[in-house]
Amino acid sequence: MNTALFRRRALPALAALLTVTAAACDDDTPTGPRVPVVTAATQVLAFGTLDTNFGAGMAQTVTLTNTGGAAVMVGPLSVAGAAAADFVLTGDVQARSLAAGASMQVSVAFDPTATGTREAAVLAPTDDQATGTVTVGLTGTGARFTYAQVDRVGIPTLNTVFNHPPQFSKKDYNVASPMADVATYTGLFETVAGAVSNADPAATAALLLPDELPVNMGAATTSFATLTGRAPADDAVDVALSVVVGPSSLHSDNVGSNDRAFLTTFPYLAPPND
Amino acid sequence: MHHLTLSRFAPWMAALALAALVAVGTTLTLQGADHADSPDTTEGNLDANDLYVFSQGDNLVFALTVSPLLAPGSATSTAAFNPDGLYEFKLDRERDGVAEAVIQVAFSGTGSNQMVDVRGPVAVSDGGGTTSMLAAGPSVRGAVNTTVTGGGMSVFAGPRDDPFFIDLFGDRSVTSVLNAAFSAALGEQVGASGEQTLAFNPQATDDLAGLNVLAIVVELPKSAVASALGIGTGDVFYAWATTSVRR
Repeated sequence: MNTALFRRRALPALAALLTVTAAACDDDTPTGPRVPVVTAATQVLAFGTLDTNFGAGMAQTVTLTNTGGAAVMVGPLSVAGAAAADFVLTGDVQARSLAAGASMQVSVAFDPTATGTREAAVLAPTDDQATGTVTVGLTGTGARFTYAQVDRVGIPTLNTVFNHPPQFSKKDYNVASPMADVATYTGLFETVAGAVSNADPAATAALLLPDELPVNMGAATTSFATLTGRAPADDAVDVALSVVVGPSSLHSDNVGSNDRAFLTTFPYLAPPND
Repeated sequence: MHHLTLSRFAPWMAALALAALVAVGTTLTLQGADHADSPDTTEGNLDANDLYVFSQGDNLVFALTVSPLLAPGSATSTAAFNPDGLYEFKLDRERDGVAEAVIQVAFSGTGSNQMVDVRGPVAVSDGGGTTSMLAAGPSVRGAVNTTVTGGGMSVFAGPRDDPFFIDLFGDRSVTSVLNAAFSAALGEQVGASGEQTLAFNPQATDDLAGLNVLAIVVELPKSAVASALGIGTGDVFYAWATTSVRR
């Protein structure tokens, strides 16, 4: 590569020299002629493995720099190759004159349309005949991932209390589907609720299982207290206590509101504490 | 104002005694709410804390909090969603544990430069447990820690004040009450010595005050949810949220 570059540079007819190897250019032209040298910061961009249904992943940046001594025309940039459709080029890809010392950047994101190895390249044509088009390789892998459930949450607080006895594995509960909740947990819930004087065990268990939060889209206001949803300001702990201890009793942990005011507009939750 | 008294709580103690009979000798860890209760993961960002679903005019708002007990400062500013994770709101028409529609949320990248992708609601038949990404549906993507709109929805994903409030720690807290009940039931002390009183503190404090979480908030029209579920915009459905990780 170095040899080839040096040979080409020696030709006086060449107005420009283009390469993707910055080190070679620097080494070769300590006091060279005023020629443009366009270099790419990275020769191959690897995008890793992405689900074909995910959409485009994190974009990476292609940086082209004219490290030489004269202006050069670069562009328009494009993507070519077997999987060109899987790589999305964004930014100003139009042809422009790149002054000596100037850089240009575009972004490339990987959005695999099929599984397996996906390869293409960014092409940056220049008006320097000697080196022509600068290329940046693009490679990634398309996949179809499957996911294993780690945790779940439905009705606030209650099931944590009822599943407190350690012989009932919290992990089993967390990774389970609500489909099995009635069969798996009704006995436990009825046992616990059965000793609570004001609560009907079967009704309490039926209220809580499967562990899904009821949402009534027709309710004027949705709240956990009326089992029509759950708003951030709802006192879930007190509602849970009233269910556990009995419907006619009103018990409270005496913390009735959040430390920070909720917002009246999106995203409703208060900003983080500094 | 309303205190759990020993006599009032005695029946529950008895119930716990029954339920805990076989638990003697087992190490007990007691936690309030759903915070920090996912022993199968060390990834706080897969630890589901709280689910919120509420009306906002003609819209519905879904919110899920993860990553409990984030201290302000670097712990919060460096917190990120799991790029190998899948966060889902599952929507069930019949309350049979099988979701008829789902909203999926996934992330790419790391740290504060993460991108969030949201897709849904899309009709599915999914009991949960194992899942994969949907091929189609309304979708939007954008940066974390800012409001992103598109695909008929508004999305925010990033650090927030923990919206949950509870007297979780200390004497006469929820943990104290649970400890006391279990200690009595088991005949041995469960939990810390300073957290054994079976009553609530009239001057209780929110022990999650000043702490942050990572939150996912999605607002979208009721009509979109109703359409995906095949129900009316004034009907009832049932929701739960899951965190999952790539196999």
